[in-house]
Amino acid sequence: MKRSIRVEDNAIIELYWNRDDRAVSQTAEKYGAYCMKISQNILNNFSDSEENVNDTYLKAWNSIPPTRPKILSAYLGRIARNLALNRYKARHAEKRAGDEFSVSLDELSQCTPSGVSVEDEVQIKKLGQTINRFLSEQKEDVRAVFVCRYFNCDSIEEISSKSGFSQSKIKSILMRTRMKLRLYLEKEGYYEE
Amino acid sequence: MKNEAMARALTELDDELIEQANTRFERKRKSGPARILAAAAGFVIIFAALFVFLSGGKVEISVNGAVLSGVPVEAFSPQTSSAVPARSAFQNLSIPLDIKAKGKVTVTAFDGILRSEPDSEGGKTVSASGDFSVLWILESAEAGKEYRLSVDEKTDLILSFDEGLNKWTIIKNTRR
Repeated sequence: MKRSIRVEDNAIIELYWNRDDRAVSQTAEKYGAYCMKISQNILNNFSDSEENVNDTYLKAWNSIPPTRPKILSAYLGRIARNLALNRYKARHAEKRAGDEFSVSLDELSQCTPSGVSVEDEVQIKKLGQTINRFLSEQKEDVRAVFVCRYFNCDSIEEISSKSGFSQSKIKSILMRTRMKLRLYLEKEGYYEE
Repeated sequence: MKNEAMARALTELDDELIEQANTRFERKRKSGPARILAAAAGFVIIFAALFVFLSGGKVEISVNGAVLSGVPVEAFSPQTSSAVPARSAFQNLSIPLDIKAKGKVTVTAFDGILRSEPDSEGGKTVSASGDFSVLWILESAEAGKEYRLSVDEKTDLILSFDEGLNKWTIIKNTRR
C-alpha cells in the first residue's frame, strides 16, 4: 500500500518536472484535503484557507523542479503551513486571537527559546533540526501526537478521535513532551545567556 | 505572533517524521477493525471449544431408559428384578447400559466385565462411538459393597445395594 502511494507520488512529481498541468489537478485530488485541513486549522476561515491551498499548489509548481520532494505529502503540508503562518501573522498582527491555533502556540511558550529570531532563517532551521532530533528519540505515539498538534495544528478533540486516546491522555502526552523538549533545548544550550 | 520562532521551526520537521505521524493513527485505525475481528474470531473459537467440551464431550448414559445423573436410579437387571430376590448373599447382576456419545468413548469396568455384544466373551473395556450399548456383568455381587465402572476416566458409575429401597441402584459421579 505504502509502496503504491510512493509510486503515485513519483508520477505526480514527474508531471511537475515535465511541466504538465495535470500535476496540479493530481495534487489537488490527492492532497487537497490535507492542505486544506492544515490551512483551516491555522486560519480558521474557509475562503482564506482555499486561497492558501491554491497558493500552495502555485508554490509547489514553482519549486518543483528544481526540488524533488522525498515525500510529497509532507512537502505540500510544509508549504501550506508556512503560507498559512504568513497569512495568520498578517491578519493577527495587532490583535490577539483566541482560536485553536493560538491556543496551541500558547502551549509552546514554555519551550520557546527567547534568543531565536524569527528573521534568522539559519537559527530557525537549526532549531527545527534540534526538535527533529528530540522527536526521533520519542516513542512513535508521542511523536505522532506532537506532530498532529503542533505541525498539523489539529485540535485535542481531533487527535483524540483519530488516535483513540482520551483527551486527557493527549493533554498529558503533550505536556510531558513539552517539558522534555524544554529540558532537551536547555541541554543544547538554547537558554544560555 | 506569539512563539512564532517555535511555530516556524516546527515547519522544518523532517518529511519522514511528518509522514510517520500522519500515517501512524491511520494504521492504528485500520488495525482497529482487524483487531475486533480477530477478537471476535477468538471468542467464536473459545465458545466452539467450550461447546464441544461441554456438549460434544458429554456422554449420556441410561439404564433401561432412565438417564443416569447424580440421583440414584434403579439398576434394572432381569436376573434380579422379580425372579431373584433383591437381596441375597451373592447375586449375578447383568446391567444394560445405553450410551450416547458424540465422539469415541472408552468404558472401563473396575469390577465385573463388559460385553458389547450378547454373545461376546467380554472384557474390562469397551471402546465405541455414537450410540451403543454394553452389558455390565457382575458375578456374585455383595449387597454391602460398591462396584465401579468409568467412562473415559471422567465419569464413574457406582452400583450399590440400597437397603431402604431394597434394590440395586446406580449413580453417576462426574470427576472434577
